[in-house]
Amino acid sequence: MQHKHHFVLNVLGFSIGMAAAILVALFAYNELNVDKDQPDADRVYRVYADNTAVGLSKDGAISAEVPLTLKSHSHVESIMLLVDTYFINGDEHELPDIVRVANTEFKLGNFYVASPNLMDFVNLEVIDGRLDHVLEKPGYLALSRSEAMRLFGTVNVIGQTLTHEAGIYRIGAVFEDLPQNTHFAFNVLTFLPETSRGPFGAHVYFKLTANADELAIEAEMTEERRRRSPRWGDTSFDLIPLSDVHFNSNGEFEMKQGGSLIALKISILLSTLLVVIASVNFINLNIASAGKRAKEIGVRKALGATRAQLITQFLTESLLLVLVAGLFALFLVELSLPGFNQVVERNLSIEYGSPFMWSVMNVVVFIGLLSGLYPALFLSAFSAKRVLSGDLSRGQGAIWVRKLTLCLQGAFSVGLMVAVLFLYGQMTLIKELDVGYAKQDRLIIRELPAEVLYNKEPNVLMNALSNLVGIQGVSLSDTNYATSMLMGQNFTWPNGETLDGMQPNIVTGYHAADVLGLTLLAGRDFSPEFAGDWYVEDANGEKRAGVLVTRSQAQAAGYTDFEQVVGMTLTVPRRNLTATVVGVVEDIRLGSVTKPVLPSSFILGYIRNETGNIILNTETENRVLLTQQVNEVLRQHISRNDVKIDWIEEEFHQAHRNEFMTLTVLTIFCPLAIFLTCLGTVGLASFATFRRQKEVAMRKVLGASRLNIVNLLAKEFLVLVVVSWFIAFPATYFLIADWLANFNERISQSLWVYLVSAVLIAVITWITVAGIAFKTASTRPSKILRYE
Amino acid sequence: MINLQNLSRVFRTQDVETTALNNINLNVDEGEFLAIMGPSGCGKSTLLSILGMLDSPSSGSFNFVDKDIANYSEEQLAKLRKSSVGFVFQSFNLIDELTVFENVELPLQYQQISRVERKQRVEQILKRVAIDHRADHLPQQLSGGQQQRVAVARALVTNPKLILADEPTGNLDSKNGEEVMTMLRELNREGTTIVMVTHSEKEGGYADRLVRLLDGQIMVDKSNKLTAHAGAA
Repeated sequence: MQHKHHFVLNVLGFSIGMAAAILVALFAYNELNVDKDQPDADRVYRVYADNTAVGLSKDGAISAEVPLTLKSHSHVESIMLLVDTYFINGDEHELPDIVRVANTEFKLGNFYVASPNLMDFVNLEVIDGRLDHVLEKPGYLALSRSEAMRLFGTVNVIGQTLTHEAGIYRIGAVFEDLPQNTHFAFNVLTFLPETSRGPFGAHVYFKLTANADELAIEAEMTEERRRRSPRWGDTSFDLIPLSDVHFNSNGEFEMKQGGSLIALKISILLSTLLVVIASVNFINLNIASAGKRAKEIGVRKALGATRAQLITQFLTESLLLVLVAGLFALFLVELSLPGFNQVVERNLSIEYGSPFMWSVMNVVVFIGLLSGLYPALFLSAFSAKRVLSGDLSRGQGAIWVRKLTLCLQGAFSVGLMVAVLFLYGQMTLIKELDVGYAKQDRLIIRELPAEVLYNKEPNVLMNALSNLVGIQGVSLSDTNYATSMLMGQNFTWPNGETLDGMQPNIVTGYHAADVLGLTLLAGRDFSPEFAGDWYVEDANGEKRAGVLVTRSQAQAAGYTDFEQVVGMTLTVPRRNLTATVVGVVEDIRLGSVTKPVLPSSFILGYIRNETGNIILNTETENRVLLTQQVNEVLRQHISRNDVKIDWIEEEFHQAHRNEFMTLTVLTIFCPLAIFLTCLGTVGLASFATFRRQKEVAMRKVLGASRLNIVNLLAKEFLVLVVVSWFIAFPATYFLIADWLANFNERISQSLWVYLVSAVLIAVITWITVAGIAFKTASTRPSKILRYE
Repeated sequence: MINLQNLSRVFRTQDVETTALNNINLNVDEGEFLAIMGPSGCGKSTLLSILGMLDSPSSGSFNFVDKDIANYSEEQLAKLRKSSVGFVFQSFNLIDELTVFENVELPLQYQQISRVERKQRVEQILKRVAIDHRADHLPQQLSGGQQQRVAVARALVTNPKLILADEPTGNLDSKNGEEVMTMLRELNREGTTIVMVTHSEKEGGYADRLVRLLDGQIMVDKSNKLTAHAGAA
């Protein structure tokens, strides 16, 4: 009876462990292969500008002016540009993204201009029309399948037109949606026009010749930049291989948010450990059950089985077992893929016949062979008599291997539990971090036309919104500040100070501090009672506006008394801008908390963007209803019905997707690891108690209670658990410290987390062992001692 | 001291019912040296288990020192057994990881006797069975006869009312076997009640009384005193 239970447990444990390992390995494999299939991918690089020296960051969206000077470099085969129309529209060309089709307005999503050689760099499946023609002359669009469906409801749209404020677009091509495993993400493409100073915000891709020296090319570009504007002194250019771009595309001006190198490393580590643990468990339990069959082996030998026959028997048995378990594992993987895909935000799937699956098969077969080898070789070697007479129960070497692996499993469980607890603590810290603005109960209505929003006079749309029940206040912002910043202003202060580096500036409407939830330290908020603060440009081109400055900005300029700062006049000479300080607010953090706090400011009404966002301060029990009502108001005032409305706290969450995703994955895998460790413990414990049956029976005869017996058997395991702590603690400490170093604000690794995890694992181990031991401890000693 | 009346023990598995003991009537007085004999499968080991409070009868009464313990629970049996019965087995059943001293000490540990007293009693007993010079050795380092002497010491250390021996010389050569049986006889002379199960006539000859079992029933129950004297002489 017992044997059957153990058999099922063995197969199940191995399957679950392997299934988990395969899932995580799939993820890692996917991440490593992003963009590897693009044409000549091994020779393609994206140009990054490393502007950290001037207080900015490493950007993947740059000014193409300098890189383009290398067009005729002997090692540069070709250059491809991909630019968000946001950066092109306005100055010299009209490329609006708001279009009209059959009386409905839409905002084109992911609207990019591309150089005509796009298809030499990106695998695109053109369904209809000619993409190369679209990119060779202005006025034509290429749509992705989903965008075509969204706008027209069909993919037969060649020749159709979209009207915009400066004319029309004609549809010249339709292409298949880009797959998930690429960093490219565009839905609408059009011709790249000439610009006087090489487009800004461009993604620049170089295809180099086979013998190119990347470092030399980087150096040349850096030198060229320095020549043109010494101001950019210590900045440089980097060439990043195409398949690594998606690890470096988590900034604001990316086509889509990429993956994280840390998540990749963690998943590789996790997958390896899971395979090791599942395999070791499987091998251990197999060896243990083979040991119990010693008598059978003896009998077989006595009946004439040769060693070769026995070896074959064992190997075949374990291979069969492992294949069954492997198949079940694949079944489990298929079952859990949809859910897993949701968690990791990927489109993973098993491709039977792919090199990945072959590796999996190899691993499984290898484990099968390994687990069959020990019994096959060791047991079959002994003479029948020895085996039958029961001399086999020693095997000291094997026992040490089993003890060691149980240690490692215990270490893994403890480490994982500690990691989950710390990760959870860090993410809670992030969630509750004071970012200077209010995250709760704020709605952001995104990317509406600026001219509709930014009016000095009372605004019909905004009034309609503020009249809704549940809306406490309405204001504006040119940027989705929970995830990103747009532009900056470097003010010159009355004392002559002009600060260096990026100083983000958010263009708001009235009631900025109130609606955005800023903390006023001195002065007052923007208000319609003080309409004079609103941005105004006079006949001479002189611009004036009111500003809210932040604490660190004022302090960096040398002012500590904020009351004094209120009323000061700041200037931005090169823009002819004079700003009056209306109030001082507490610092805000824009975007992910992994980035440092920048000295920011808020300005009233000086909108330079095409679009803006409405910020709503809400107070309601029924969020769904409120959003519906907001949508209704929008529909009445603007004829767009694809307006994006989001909660600021979710946007904030989005900015930390990768971290939250890592937390989710680890939280799922922690109990799994503990389960596998328990399985290992069960196997080892039942073997140990089986081995010591007679001793247990004798002790019972001599008066031991059940608790005495349980503790006797559990002691052996608790020692192993304690040893596992010593393995787990240092390893975990360093790994966690490494991860935490990415965050500006971080928790400290408190001792109690280690202690709690350690004790918890010890308790779980004790309970597992006790469960097994209890049964043995309850058996009547007469039963065991009877069969002398 | 021991009185069994109409005692039966039936083993039930899923398909099969085996009657190991069938209406046994047996009386054992204090100080007796009893040998229970019979062929394989006659039920002697079962009888020993019941006498040793390792098992309970299916029916009948079992009076141990004026108390009917036939329906005692396992805990109750264990408690009584701890203080009243000592066991000697054919394959010694010493614990390999413990030294001779620790093996003999074990039953006292389970009775929560203080360390000082334990040391005293163990040393005394080891001397009595002449194995004290090997007190720190492990069982693997002893000969069969020595191991059995340790087992006897362990059985005695709790000052039991009854010693139960299951084929005590089965794993020993004739010389060692004689030594062990002689020791048991001496202990019996000093007052310890001994019930021994065996299928060796030679072993049985050392006892004062012989009970023969066949198919779960007592066939013969008679005194052995004449042969016993002959064996000792």
